[in-house]
Amino acid sequence: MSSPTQAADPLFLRAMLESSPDNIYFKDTKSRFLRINWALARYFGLKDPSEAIGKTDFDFHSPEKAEVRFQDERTIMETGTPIIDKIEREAHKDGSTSWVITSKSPLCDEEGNLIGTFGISRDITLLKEMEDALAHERNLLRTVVDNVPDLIFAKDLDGHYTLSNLPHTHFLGKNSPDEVYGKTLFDILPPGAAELAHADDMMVWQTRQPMFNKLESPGQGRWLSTSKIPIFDHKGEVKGLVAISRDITSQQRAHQELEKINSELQRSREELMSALEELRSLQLQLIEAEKMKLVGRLAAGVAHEVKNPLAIIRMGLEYLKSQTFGDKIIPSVLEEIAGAVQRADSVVGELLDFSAPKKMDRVPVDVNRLICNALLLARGEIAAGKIAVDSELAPDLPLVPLDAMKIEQVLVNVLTNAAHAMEEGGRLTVRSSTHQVTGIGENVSSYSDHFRLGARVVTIEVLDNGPGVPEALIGKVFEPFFTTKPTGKGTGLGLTVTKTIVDLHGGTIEMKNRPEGGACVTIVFNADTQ
Amino acid sequence: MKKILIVDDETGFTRLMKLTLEKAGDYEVIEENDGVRAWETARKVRPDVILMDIVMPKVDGGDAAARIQKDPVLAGIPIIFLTAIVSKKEAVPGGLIGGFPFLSKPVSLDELIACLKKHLPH
Repeated sequence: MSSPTQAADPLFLRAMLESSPDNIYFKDTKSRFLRINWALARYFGLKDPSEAIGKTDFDFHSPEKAEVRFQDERTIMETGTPIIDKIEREAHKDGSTSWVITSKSPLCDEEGNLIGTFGISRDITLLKEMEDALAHERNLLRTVVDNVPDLIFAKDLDGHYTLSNLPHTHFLGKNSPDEVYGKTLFDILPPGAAELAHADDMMVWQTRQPMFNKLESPGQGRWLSTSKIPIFDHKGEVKGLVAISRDITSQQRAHQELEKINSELQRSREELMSALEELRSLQLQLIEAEKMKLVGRLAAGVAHEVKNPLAIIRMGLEYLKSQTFGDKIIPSVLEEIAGAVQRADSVVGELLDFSAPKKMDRVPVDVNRLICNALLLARGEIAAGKIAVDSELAPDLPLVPLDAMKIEQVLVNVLTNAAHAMEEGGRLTVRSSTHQVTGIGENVSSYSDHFRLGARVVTIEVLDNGPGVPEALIGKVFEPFFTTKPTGKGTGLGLTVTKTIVDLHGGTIEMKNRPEGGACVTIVFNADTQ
Repeated sequence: MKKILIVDDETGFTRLMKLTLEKAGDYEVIEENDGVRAWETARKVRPDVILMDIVMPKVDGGDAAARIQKDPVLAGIPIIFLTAIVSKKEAVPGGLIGGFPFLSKPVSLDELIACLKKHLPH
């Protein structure tokens, strides 16, 4: 007696045959269709499944294909063994092709006698196409991964390699990626190198953040730039990492070479600058020497022509001084004349000094000491003018190669000049300072062009609070015979001599009016000059 | 009385020197205005000291002084240069030019007498 479910078998079978999208058939021992379902009938182009009964595959397929199926069924019936999931490509009359997966089994009656075969097949064309596309993409990706020159690899959370492209495989000294897969850093690299790389892996896993372009030196003079990116699963859990290392040995070497060349260039530039400075100084000295030769000749001529008449006047005065005059005014007149002779003689004397050959005896000196000496030498002029003196001297000045005597003369001239500018008393400020010429910001000044960038300079400033110099004349203060002092008070050569001496030291001197009143003389020397 | 030979092409200068010095002290001043004749005059008057200008036409003071110095007859007579072309500041150590003492023009009487006293044989 059959169970209720067994009784329902025909119903189940019919439902399956009518609605299954897969092709289902039953055949007799001669491979003739006993029954097919609706899906197969539509596949064969039949209006009703019954139309297939008694027909074979030779009626619906090409002879070659029909023969293959016929032989398969022979084998099943002879061996009793089913064919499971056989994938076949089917060519259609319209030229199109499709893919099917088929399982076939022996068909037996209730007593177990073989009465034929049955099978079910499914159209897997879409799946097959997707699989092909996936395989193509995988292949493409693999080709790219293996052929880029960069080292590409991936690891799981246990540190096992799950990907290693050919350059990475070869870098590890292996021939095939299969020799790398499943291994860890510690299986392949020496302990020290393995620990370093592993520390990076751990950091990426723990921080969940990528690491980009880390410079690594794996030895043998090679340099790698490595980036490691964490891999997340769909739940956002870290599952491993993928890494790419670029061999930048050649760039690194080029960079080092470039740095070397750059440093050599810098050194050459400094040497050139130093040579240029020396040449400039020499040129200045040559020009100065040539000029001075001419001026010297002129000065000697002038001195001779002026001093001789002065000598006669002077001797005449000496004679007259020994005489007695009725007019009491005469001796004072003679004194006036003697004063005038003295002044004229001073002018000629300074002219001779100005044109005399200048010999520099430059040794490293403390500028503050020169300032103190000059203040002592000029104390008479300063005291006469009831002038208060402020010294603001920087304690850490570098020594500067200067001719101490000549620079003292310069400072005395400038201090005296400032004292004379404050006839009714005032305040004289002397400052010294040092800094490096950078040509940036407040460092930009009229002298920053004069010294090379980076040079250490020492600056001396002499400030007075006198009336200053009329703006129209301030550019001429260093010109010969320029003076704002009353006739007889100055020769107009003092500041010219001063500038000549500063120039010969390769320094700069300038005079400016101060916004708050008075004038400021700034002298700058290069402390680096040899 | 000390004899002073003054050699200078400026006649006005030599004249005033003579007037002033002779009035100022016990000096006899002989004038000479030519470098060529300076040696001849020196030989003739045998001065106690010679004041010599440097820049003069024909023979300058340097050559004239050298000739006088080399003359055995005149040997030992001090020569003092009086020059207009050297400033006081340029005075070399010892105040010498070519080994001779010098005075820079214009010169004061005090300066001149001090220098003469220093170099005149006592």
